[in-house]
Amino acid sequence: MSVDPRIAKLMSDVFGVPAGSIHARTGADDIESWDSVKQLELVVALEGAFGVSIDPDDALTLDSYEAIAALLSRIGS
Amino acid sequence: MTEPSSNPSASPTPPALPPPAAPPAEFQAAARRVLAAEAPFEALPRLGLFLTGTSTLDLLSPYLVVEGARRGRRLELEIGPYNVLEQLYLDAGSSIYGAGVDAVVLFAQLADLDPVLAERPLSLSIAAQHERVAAVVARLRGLVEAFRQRSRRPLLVANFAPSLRVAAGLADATLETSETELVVALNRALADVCRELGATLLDIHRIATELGTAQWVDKKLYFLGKVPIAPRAQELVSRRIARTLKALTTTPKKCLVLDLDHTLWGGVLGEDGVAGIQVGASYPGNVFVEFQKRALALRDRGVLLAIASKNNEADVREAFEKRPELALSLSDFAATQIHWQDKATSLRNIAAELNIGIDSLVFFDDNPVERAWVRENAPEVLVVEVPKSPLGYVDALEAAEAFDHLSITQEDLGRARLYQVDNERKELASQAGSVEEFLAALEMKIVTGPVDKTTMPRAVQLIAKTNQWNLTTRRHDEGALEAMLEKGAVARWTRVVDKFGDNGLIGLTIAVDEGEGRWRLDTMLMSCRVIGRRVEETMLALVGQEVRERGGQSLVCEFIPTKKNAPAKDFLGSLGFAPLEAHRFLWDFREHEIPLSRHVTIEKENP
Repeated sequence: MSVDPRIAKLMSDVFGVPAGSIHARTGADDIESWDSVKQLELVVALEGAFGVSIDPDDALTLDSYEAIAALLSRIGS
Repeated sequence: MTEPSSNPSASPTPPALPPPAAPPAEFQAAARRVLAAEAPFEALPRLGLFLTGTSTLDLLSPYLVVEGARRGRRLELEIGPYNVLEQLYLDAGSSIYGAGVDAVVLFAQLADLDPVLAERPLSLSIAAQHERVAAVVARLRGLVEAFRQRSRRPLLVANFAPSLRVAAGLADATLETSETELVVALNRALADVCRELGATLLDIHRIATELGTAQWVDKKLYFLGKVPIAPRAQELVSRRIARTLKALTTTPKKCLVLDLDHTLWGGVLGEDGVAGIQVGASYPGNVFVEFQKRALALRDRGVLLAIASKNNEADVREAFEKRPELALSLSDFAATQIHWQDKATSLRNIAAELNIGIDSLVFFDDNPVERAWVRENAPEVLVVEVPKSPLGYVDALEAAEAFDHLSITQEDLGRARLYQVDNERKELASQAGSVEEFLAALEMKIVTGPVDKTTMPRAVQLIAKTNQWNLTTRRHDEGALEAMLEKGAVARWTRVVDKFGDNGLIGLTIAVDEGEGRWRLDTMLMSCRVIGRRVEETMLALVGQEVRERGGQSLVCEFIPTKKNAPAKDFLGSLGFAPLEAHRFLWDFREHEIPLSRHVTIEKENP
């Protein structure tokens, strides 16, 4: 599975890791800065960058690249 | 798109930082580059900022870092755990008093401080509501007091946003005390606390009103993570904090220099004629009238106005006489340069005429060629980036943040009139044969008194912005000055009144006791408005008198040269004091007395 460069770039911006280090299996455990505050920054960043509104229940499930990509394809981007 | 600025005082060029309202990820990425000191941010000086509050403030970080960088600072943030305000403020060993902290923000939410008052005000009697407002203010006052006892650093205290939803619904505004009024009363009391204790109010109420209370909170962020405000609100609050921090450390500009054609009115006077220029009640003339009123509002609060225009002066005079729709009149301008010479020269002439530094001028001209010329040939001047459409003029002027005063004094409010009267005074001087004759004709009165609570703001303002007639240019802030007073320093203000009116509080002297009868003149400064009237001699004589009354035997006076204080350079040397070394003199009270001019009346207030 290839990585969507837009998502990788956004995760890089939010978590401060190189975009190239993001791969399909990257999860919250792989990124040291990924804590509860960053989780909120991630949600805000996704909404701003992709023009979507993320349901709070979905927001809590975003714990990996895969989860982000799946949510975005489901809610339309 | 803004043009790259060649003004050396401007922050790093805009493309490096996201524009207002850009997506949050752009702020997060840019903040990371700023903090890593990547180009072009390598040289930004650091400023340690500590955020305290009652909820999650972490999401403000990227916005604060970006807005700080826009204003030339690399903000390094620390964020306190929430809801432990007393622990943070009352313990002298707490991290908010750490060495790396340059300023502290207190941003508390009313719903956290008093949930009943914030959410169920109708469950309280009116008396109980007011008691609770007083209790909230008392708690915040306790924090500010504790801070001031332990630190002289700037403290920014946020006031409270209007309620999102009022408990009484449609009936709120009809209540004896509406919920809206309760918040206003609370904010009023908080502003008084800040003024009294020397903290800086952060007007959150205003920001929330500008954005709209419906946009203020993002429910998802609030309920998921107790984040008090929405992303866009975080950006605006951060901008206000960064702007306030900048205003605390830089001197506001003093004079707005305006072009005429296409700036104050539509059209070109030389081509369209007096009757042809666009100004008046209908479009597009009404847009220019609005901009003129904005200039007048700045004048009301102490900003000087000037004209730099390429025109025939006679035509301009005729326009101001024959077009009553102009909101401004020629007498509103403290200086005018209307001729065909280049505008850098005009700006230099204006600075010289008004006796202010050229770096205290702001230039507003619709013509990009003129702006480029001024940037190149008078780089000290702040050049406002003016949009093509006059509809954007007012916002462009506001966005320049050139006249950011944190407080406005009586002197500010009366300044414009003072400059008007100054022209009459100059006329008198040109008629008088000698300085003595001039002083006699002026009927000068010098009023002096100790710096106290009422005069402290003006004293601190003078310390912050007096560049020219300033012997030592020591920029004490309010905390430092208070500390000096507590240690027994003598600080006197001077006001000058003459037959043309009150010049306001224009001078300050501070002397500190060095022990064994020896005192030191720490600060002596005077507004340029009264240069050449021998006020300085009287000021020094009076401070000498007071030091003597306190048991002092001598006063060490020094001049510390800067780029700007040449006007004060020869003063000490002219008094016949014993020189100690270059620019340092000993005034031995037994050997020297400064004679007071017989043309000046002296009045001491609460001696």
